[in-house]
Amino acid sequence: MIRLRIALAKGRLYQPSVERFTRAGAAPAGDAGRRLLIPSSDPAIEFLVVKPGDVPVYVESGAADLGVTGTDVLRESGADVLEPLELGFGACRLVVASPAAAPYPELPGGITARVATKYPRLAQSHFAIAGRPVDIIQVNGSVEVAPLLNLSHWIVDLVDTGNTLRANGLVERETILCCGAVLVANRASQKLKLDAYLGLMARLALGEPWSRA
Amino acid sequence: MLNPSLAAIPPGALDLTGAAARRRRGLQRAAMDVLERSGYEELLPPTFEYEDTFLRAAGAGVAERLIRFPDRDGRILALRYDFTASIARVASTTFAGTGRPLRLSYSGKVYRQEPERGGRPRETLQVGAELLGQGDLAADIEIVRLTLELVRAAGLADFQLNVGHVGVLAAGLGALEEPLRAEVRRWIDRKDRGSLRRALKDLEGDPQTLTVLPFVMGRRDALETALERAPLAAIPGLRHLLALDAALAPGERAHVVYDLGEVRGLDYYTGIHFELFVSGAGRAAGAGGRYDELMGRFGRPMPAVGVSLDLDTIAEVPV
Repeated sequence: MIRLRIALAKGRLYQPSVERFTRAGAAPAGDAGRRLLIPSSDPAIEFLVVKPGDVPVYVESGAADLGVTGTDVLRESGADVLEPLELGFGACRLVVASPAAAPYPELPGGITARVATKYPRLAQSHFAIAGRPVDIIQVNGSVEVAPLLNLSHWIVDLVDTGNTLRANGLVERETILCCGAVLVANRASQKLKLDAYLGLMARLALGEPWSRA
Repeated sequence: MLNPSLAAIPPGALDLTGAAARRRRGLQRAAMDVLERSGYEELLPPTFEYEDTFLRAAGAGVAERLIRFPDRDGRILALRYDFTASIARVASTTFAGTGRPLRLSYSGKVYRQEPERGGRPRETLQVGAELLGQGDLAADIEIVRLTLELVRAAGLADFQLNVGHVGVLAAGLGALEEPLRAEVRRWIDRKDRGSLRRALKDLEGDPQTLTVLPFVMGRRDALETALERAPLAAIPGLRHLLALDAALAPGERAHVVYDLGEVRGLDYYTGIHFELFVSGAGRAAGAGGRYDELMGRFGRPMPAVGVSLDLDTIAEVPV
């Protein structure tokens, strides 16, 4: 039997992913808990639960055949994978934000802006294309606090409702990328396990109005 | 304590010892035997050349993937990015007076810059062949069969060769304006059918075929189905693939899958192109095709078709 291993991201995309695969007839057997590999109600499909940033790595290398990841993480990783299906959940935006009280994009005294972000590659390329040199500071969380503590002038971060930004006195200045959950696939696996892949794609698309794949 | 600098090797460099070395040497020997028997003469090109040689052969796009360094006179050298460039240079100079076709083979490492995030080797052991000066279907068939024989000689049983033809999508893509064309190519490359449909839904004619043709993957019947709805300009390419299929023996045909969705080689290949996929490897283990414009860039225009296999990927496949 041809088996498909699907990498799911822990965190905000996990529950909607599980619901989507359950509707497609592949419900993970029980909760992830401490197990990293979990079987599903379909014997030909097993799930691998990893940190969001690792999904593109697992899929690009072929350690997983498919995966669910956000386009934010995917573009930041630069992973060379197929993106056959938008899943229609996890919508958010990657934005530049800065303190509401400070002018933007001007900075006092001719200095180069420091930008704190979890997305150094995407931030770097955004400002490079805009023709504005910046100094990127990579952090791994609580990005919104960086301007308050003078770690950076601006931040580049993911926003959903914008509540966290507002609570920290920040306003959105520019949108870099509109993001959402996508199904990704390993390039070699898609060709070697084509029938299994197409079967799963059809089941995922079935009855989902937003993705007529 | 050991001095840490003694043990360090640069990211992407490889130490191969014991079974890993024996396996590669065995694969290399088996492949070179096949190539010699098939009338391909081995060439040992230099490990480094002027960077222009590689850029001339593969285009400016490979510049960032060259591993470069300055020569004593300041000219920029690059480690061997591929063998094809050196072979084209030699064929157009040393072998300028030699009769055609030329059958040349090679084996050795190629060196390519990889993204900094790491994990990828920057040197790869390759073996390959070039058939220069013969532009007909028979030459394409010869290279495809040679590829299958090389893979069998490597002892692999579970593999497939995905074969396409650049002519199939050229008509649809040619009807699009930039920057849409580049975006459509990217979506085809990612198999993102949703974005393709959204972008092309208001366009008439040939572009419509881009929502269907790139997703065609299968045996002879898939080509025949595609033929029924292909734009006129795509038909010669499809017929060429059908003729190739007809020439293969059943045992060969079992490993060949026609795949009309590959757009990566579109700027390089001029006819058939193919990739080798081996069960257990997450990336292609070989590639090849026809590049009739290559030799012209070295001042001696003639048709060319070739193949290269990645022996490191093949060696790592569990057997």
